[in-house]
Amino acid sequence: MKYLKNKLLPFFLIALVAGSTGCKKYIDETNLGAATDQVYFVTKQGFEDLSRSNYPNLRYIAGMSNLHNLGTDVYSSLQTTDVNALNMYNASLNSALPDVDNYWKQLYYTIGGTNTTLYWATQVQGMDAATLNARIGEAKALRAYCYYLLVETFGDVPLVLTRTVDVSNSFSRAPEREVYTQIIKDLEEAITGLPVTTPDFGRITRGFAQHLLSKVYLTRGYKTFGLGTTDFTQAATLAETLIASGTYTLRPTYSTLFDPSVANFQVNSEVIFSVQYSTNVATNQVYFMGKAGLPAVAGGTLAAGTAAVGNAQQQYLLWDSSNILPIGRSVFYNRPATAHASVPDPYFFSLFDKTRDARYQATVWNALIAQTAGTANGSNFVAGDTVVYYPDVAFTPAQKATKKYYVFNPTEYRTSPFAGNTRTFPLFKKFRDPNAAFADNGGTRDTYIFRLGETYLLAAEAFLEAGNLPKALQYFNALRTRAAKTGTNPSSGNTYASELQVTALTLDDILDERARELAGEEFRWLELKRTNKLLSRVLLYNEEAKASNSLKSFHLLRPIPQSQIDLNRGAPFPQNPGY
Amino acid sequence: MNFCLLHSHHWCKIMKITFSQILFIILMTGITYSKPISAQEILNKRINLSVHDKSLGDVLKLLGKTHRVEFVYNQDVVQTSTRISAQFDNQTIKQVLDKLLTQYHINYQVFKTKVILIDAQLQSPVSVKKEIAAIDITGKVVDEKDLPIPGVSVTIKGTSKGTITDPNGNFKITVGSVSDILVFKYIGYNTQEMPVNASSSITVKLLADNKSLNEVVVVGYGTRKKSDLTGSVASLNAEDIVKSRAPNAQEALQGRLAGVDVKRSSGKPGADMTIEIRGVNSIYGNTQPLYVVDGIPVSNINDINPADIERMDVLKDASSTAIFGSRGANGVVIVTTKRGNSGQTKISYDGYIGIANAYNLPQVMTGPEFVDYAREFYRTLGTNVTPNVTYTDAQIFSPTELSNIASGNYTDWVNLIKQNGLQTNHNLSITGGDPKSLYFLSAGYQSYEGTVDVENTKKYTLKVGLEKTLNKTFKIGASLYGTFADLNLGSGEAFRSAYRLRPTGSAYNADGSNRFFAYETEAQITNPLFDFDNEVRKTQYIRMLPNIFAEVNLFKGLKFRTSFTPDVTFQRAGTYTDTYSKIGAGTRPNAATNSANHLFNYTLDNLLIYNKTIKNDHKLEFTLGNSLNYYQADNNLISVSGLPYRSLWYNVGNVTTINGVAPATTVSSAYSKQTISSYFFRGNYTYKGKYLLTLTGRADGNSIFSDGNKWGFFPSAALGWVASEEDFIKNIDFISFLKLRFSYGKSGNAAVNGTYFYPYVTQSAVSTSFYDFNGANANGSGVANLAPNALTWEKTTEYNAGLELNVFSNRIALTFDYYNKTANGTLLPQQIPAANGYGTITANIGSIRNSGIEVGLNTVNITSGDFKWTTNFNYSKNNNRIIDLFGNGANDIGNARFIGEKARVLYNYKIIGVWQSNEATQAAVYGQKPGQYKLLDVNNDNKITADDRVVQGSDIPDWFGGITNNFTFKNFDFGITVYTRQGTTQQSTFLDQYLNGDQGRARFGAYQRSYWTVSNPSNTWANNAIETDATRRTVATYQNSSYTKISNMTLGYTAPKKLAEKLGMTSFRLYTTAYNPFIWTKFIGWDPETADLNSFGLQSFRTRTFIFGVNLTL
Repeated sequence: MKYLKNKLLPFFLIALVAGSTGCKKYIDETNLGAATDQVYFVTKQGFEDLSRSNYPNLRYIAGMSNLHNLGTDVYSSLQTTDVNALNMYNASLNSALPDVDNYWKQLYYTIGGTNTTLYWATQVQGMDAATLNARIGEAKALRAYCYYLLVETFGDVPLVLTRTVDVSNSFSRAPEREVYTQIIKDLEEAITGLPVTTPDFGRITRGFAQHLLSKVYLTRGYKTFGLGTTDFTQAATLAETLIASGTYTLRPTYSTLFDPSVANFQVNSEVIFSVQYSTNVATNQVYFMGKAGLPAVAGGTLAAGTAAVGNAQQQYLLWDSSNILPIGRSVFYNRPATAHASVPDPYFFSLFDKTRDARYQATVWNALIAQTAGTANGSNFVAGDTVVYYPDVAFTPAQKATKKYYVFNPTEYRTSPFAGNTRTFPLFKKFRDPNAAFADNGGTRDTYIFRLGETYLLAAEAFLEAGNLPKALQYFNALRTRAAKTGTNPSSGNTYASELQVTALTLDDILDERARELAGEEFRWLELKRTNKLLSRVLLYNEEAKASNSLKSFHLLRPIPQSQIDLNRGAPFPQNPGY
Repeated sequence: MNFCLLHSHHWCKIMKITFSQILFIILMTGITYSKPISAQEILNKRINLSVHDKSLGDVLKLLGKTHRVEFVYNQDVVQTSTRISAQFDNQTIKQVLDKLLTQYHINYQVFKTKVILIDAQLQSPVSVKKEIAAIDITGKVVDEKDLPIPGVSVTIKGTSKGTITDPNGNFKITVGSVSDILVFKYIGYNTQEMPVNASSSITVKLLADNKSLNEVVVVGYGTRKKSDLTGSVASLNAEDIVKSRAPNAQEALQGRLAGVDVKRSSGKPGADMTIEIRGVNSIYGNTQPLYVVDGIPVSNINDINPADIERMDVLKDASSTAIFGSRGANGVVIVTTKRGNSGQTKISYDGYIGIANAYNLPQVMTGPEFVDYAREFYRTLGTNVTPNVTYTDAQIFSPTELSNIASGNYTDWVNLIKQNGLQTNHNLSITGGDPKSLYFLSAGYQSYEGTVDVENTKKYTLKVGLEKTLNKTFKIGASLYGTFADLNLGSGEAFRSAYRLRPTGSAYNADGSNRFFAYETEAQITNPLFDFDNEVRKTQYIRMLPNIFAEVNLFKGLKFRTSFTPDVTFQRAGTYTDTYSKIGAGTRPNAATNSANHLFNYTLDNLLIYNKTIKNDHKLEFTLGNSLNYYQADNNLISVSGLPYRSLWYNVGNVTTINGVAPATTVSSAYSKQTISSYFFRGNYTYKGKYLLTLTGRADGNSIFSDGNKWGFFPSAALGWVASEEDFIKNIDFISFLKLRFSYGKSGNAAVNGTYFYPYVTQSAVSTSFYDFNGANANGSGVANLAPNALTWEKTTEYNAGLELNVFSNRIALTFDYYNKTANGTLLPQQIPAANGYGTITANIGSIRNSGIEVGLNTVNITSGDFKWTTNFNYSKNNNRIIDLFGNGANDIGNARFIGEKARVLYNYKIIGVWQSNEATQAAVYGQKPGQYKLLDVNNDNKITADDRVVQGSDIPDWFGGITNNFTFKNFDFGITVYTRQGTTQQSTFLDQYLNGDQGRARFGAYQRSYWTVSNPSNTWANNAIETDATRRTVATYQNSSYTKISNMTLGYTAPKKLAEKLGMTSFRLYTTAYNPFIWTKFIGWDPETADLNSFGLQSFRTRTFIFGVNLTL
């Protein structure tokens, strides 16, 4: 036994030590690389981080150009052989459509973030009251914005106002009316908490909430459950108050809001709120449901696992001119993205008074210039030559024949002689981004969500609907004054500004004006829907939708995504009628 | 009864006893084996011998070893504890033996090359005298060829009296009564009992035992004789692994073992395999088995060179896997590497060279076919829009294409990137030692070149080890398995681009240089020739698997073993994408990533093992142990763009503005740790080798679960009955062995380092989102996912009933298993309604059942002189069914999971044809028109809605099986393995991309098919210009991916001993193998074995490999 003791003791000791440490401490979980919500969000730093984490979600929402533009009066799809369900309103516009699914998911994801923020706002330690109230205001205003987009797109939607701790699969659809009540409540509370200005350009401020609330009242005014004139008046007052506050001012020249060669073109007194992008690739990620990158099914141009970086707005509303050799792949004209299929249709170009309105030249290129030497249209060009020209007034065939470059008259914007079966039309320059490579995404420019120019149009529309035409004309004409070319019209001797003034005003005029002023900025589909003009104007002006002739009143609501219906096992989740 | 009379003469040929069989016999009985020289001569040899305090057995061993005398004896005969000390000088061995053995009353006789020891006491007439009415019995024991077997133990049943046969197989014994039964035992042969009856002279024929019954199988924390197993274990030994000639260890299992489903994880060279044992045991969690190398759980076995593997044992039922507790539910693959034997130094070389060749390529349209297709496509497109549009060639094709069409100058992009890949493998090993020490050393080199240019894999392996028995008490050892891997992943895009580009494009400019964009209209897909040089992806890693252990023999039967095994990986990876690559698009600044991954894992095991045999009949084995497992991973990544010169990833600090684009650098790093603490025990009880009982249990505590959920207990019990040991079956001649097994147990699945159980999964960690406010950093932190606090491992309960039956002298060996296993609380990273603010949550809610049968059949069909034909057949049928999802019988439509269906299914509309011209009215009811896919209207409501989706199949097979036939004729051997996997339907990545993908513009090269046009009323393929619905086109890509293949054909030549010796070798074999040479399948795509894998980086051509190799031993 002595032999046993001497020789075995060390081994039993090892076993014992290993065994006892194995009990409790050995399997404690330690994470050196990260913090948990309970630990981090109660600190000031953590809560500020949480609050900021809501903003990147907007990049994806603001980038849903197909959902916002296609199937409207002024935008159609790029392909001349159009099959896009959102533009055609055909049978493929159904609950399986990825765009609809992604929009729903990202909006609710963003709402979830604001709910989480509002919860931790009640737990955080060491915040001063003013900052805390501002953060609460930001979260509520953002939540209201998401619900506004949801309710306008889908109608009755679940109203989720607290952070999720336990999963629910039995959501029910709250009536639109209740959603509106909540949106208004959130925005009113936000207005009291939010500061007027912020040192962090890009944060939500009081102006955001006021502008949005004005739009919300205006929207509700058209609804059957809305308060009609009361709502319109509320909307008008809010817009007028915001304009009168002096916090924001119209830039003197329209183009300086968009021309990247102008200093501070996107950081100025007219911008109420913009989604921020950056020349720093590291902070320029697009997030979908909290993960960097785009959802796998949307558009499909990105390889799986490739994170999308940057804005894509510079890729909207273009056709592919790079096949024309002297133009080629140029950062100057940017690259069109097939994933963002919407393009301006001929009706859009017809809306401009090209003689008087400076916005036309600020919005599009009416001539495409050779970037390198090369052959096109059977002729040789050197850099700087005009290769494609879009005359304001149609050229006769004889006139055309004298030009070595391509000439396209306004009636020819729906077809193209170029390979690729796309249209040709004056390319958008409004969003051009010299900092983005000729590649998908990668844009560095901010996306305007609200700017004072739109507030003027909200005021005009609200007063018009409230029956106060003089006030409506006042704001409408104020914006047109800024829109006009400077100087005098030589053919009449009057200033362009005075010639752009109007004395009569209809809702259609306002929608036309929005198309000119806010081309590519406004979410056109939502604006048409809001004003009850979607059916009439689309069937009148969108050639493709007109030919398809399947747009019906049920299309005023998008289909509820099948995923929500399928996953909501605990309660029935009815589809919108018609789908 | 003698069945030989009833059957063809082939059955009468006995099984040839192979070398390894004899080796086993020797090992099991303690017979000393020496080189055979006539024993008679040896006995006269004069020797000097000095022994001090040794047992008789030890002295005999020493004599055997030093003087090459071969002793044969029954262990019982020399069972004596007396210690001998003696000195012999210049005496003959005969003199020595006489002196030594007489005192123990042991006689000996010389027979050919052997000296047979016989217990003299038993033959003593003194003892016989005591018997009443003694009957003298004489007899002879012979083998199946009627040759005498010397040394067979003959005992009277129920007594300890007995004798042993002499060199002529004769014996003489005195029994008490005619009712006595004689028991004849000889290792390597089936034990035979025979009643004395009235006859006084009997002849007994012993039948050779099945080799496999004596096989020692490696189970968790120990080994078991196969005949004593109570669980379901399938094994592959070194010979099979070597002959299958698979590039990696797991692939060697494919088609060889019932119940083991082996699939490729990628078509790339040196790619890993995935294994599912007894079906898919988790609805969405990990389904891969636990890999254990030399007793240590490891994350994978990719880095083990097949040439270093001694055997692989696959534990299938819960009785076998429960000892691995929370990690055994998906089965366990145990790999035992070669360790060498004591004795002469053995030097072996194993090498081959082979060519990998692409085959079974899906048909894509040639240039002229594509031109016709594109024209037809646009013609159709134009007539389907209002107003009609007419397309000219100039609108369909770009200028380059037009000129190529005019000149008939088309490009076969696939041919441009395809090559034959050279593959080589060399392995050199040296083993040796003496009875007290053992050393082994092996060095290997594997090189696999892919069939797509640039891609290759190189691995260098080194294995060294030493084991030393210090004294009676201590044994220690250490070993190291090291791998250095150099992986050149090549371009992820080249393969995909080659299939995408239209044949009408040009790969080269007029001056012969490579052209970046093949034609003007393609601004995204680039010439793959650029990617070879400009998209560089390389990974290098060193993986070390060192081990140290110590064993202490505490007292008789009780052993303590402790072992410590780190598993360390240092990985470095770099990627570089030039501007002129697909990713660079010709405009983006070049970019590089430089990353490092460090994995540090260890396992500390402590085992107490106790063996005890009571009165020969009761055999007990106990194992008690604890284990600590530690897994730590940390990594870092630097990713930059804007390198001023081509510095790959080696100079990532040096970035600058290129083409006006600002340089970018991002860095990240991460850390994770997981620990598991375990206690386990196992008890085996065997009664008379007839009744077997195994009880196991394991408790695991795992750090990844929240407090209160960390610990789990996994018990199991199993019973075995070796019926062939029962008298009433022993009398049935044709049954050589019959065992029935039944087991029940619980095991778990926590998928260490898996995708869905991972450290911190139950914590709601915050994650960074990047943003800025007007250029000022404004990064935020949100909650990455909803924390599933209650998450715990999946628990599986399994029943297994097995039958092992060997008949006709073991020439037919059948194994049959029925199992039924149910996993409860399986992991579901459920999609949840987005209104929750999260997309998914991970939860233990589902339940899934796998039940099925497994049949293994080994037959010796012919063994006649120089010719032998053996067959291994295995068949596995598994019924995989989800039995519950949410506890309320509801299906999970959003995730395509249905109660009663397989775990993974394709759920969508069903195509039942194409609308034909005369069906326009019917089509219009559904808003469709001729040329579009006709869908099944399940509920006949004249609308195609979400309710019309149906389950259309699964990638989980209904059944699979393999047949291996081996033929040997003289020195030649030929083996062929056929493998089949049936009942699978998968989406074809090929069709998804080249039938469906972005075909709205006939943009890509197309699958060559007969599709619907007005004049070609195909009912299979719709017209893509009319069928614009992506969902319907997706459904058309679902294909039957069942296949049958010849996985291996090997022809070998083993040099006769004389020839080998002439060449200075012990053995020498040449062989040629065709690996995966043929496949039969209906599948449309590259490879049914990788049917639905992403074409970015995972898909490649299906390949076959032709190998020429040599195995030699010095």
